[in-house]
Amino acid sequence: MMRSPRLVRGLLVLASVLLGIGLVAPCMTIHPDFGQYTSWVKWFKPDLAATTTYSILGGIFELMRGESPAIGVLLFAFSVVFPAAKLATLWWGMTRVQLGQSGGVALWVTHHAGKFSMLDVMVIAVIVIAIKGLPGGTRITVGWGLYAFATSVVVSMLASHLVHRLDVKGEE
Amino acid sequence: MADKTDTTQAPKRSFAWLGALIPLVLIAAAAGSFFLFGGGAETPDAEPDDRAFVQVDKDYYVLVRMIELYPQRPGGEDWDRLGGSAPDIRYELEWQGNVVFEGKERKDTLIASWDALSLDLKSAILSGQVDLGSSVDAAIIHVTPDTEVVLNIWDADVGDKDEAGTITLRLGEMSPGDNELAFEASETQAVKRVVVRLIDHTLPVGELVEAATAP
Repeated sequence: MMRSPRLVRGLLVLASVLLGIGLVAPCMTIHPDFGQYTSWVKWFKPDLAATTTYSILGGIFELMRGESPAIGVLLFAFSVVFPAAKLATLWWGMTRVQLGQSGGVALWVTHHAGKFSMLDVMVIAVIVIAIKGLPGGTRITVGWGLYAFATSVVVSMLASHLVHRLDVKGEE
Repeated sequence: MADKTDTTQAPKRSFAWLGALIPLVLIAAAAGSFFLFGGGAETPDAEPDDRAFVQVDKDYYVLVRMIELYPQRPGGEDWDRLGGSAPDIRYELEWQGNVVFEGKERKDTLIASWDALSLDLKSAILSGQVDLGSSVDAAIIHVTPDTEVVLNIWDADVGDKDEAGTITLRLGEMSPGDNELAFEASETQAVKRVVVRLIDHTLPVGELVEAATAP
């Protein structure tokens, strides 16, 4: 029984580090292209035509500063707060299970917070945009930060599964 | 799901709750470390560093993009002896003994910059045409391995000009794109920094605009 808690803690450390890096590492790069008008746009609005790389957190803050603060807050809650809360409560639940207690409210919160994680929605959205492209030839390329973020969520799901198994074993 | 805790385990419960902070600290530490040592991601990407030299026996647009002067004139005196204002920076490019380009004056500044393209909208609207070649604010220079262009910089006063410095640009040793040159202040010159951009004269119009307007 001692091996699994160590494994779970290792997974939680890994997931936390990956989440931290995934939030600030390059997530997507936008290569604007305005077709035959590209040169003119670069002439008159060079900022609009510049290739820009965003992280998840940077993109969210950009939304908050710009015209979509509500969407920014929503994304911040689902992409930053919930994954972090899930890892925190998982660690709490793991500690309780190790102390011979029931996972109790910690694992209940984990279970419900996990449902609100936006990983699948966000990854699919980014991939669709990356594959489909945008009008005028503008392209979006996915950065390694997105993979770090996605791996963090997958690892946290695995950790969550193991903690729940340990909790059930403890109750038996 | 029955809670197996009893009153004797109360201190353990509080310890367990504090454990929730560990992932949060790890997340913040990882993000902070990456941000500090890896740099942020929300910046326009830098242009690829093309350190290839210019091709010889070819014509290039030579643009002076930026000039920075030291706070004092050559010799250490103030630029403006009376008002204390910054210099009015002007420059010219001299090639083979001839002035081939004169930059417009930039008033009261220690750092002057020039756009590579200027469009005469009035003339464009009246004629219905845009002559992009003549819209490039630059000298056209034929570059050989030994081509030298003299950059004369001065503070344009009314009826007078105070020399800021003279710099010899060896174009054959420069790269296409921006070339930043830095200088020490001396008794004869007060130019701190110059950015010179070289653009292939034969570029198609689209690429020419792209090269001329790159940040």
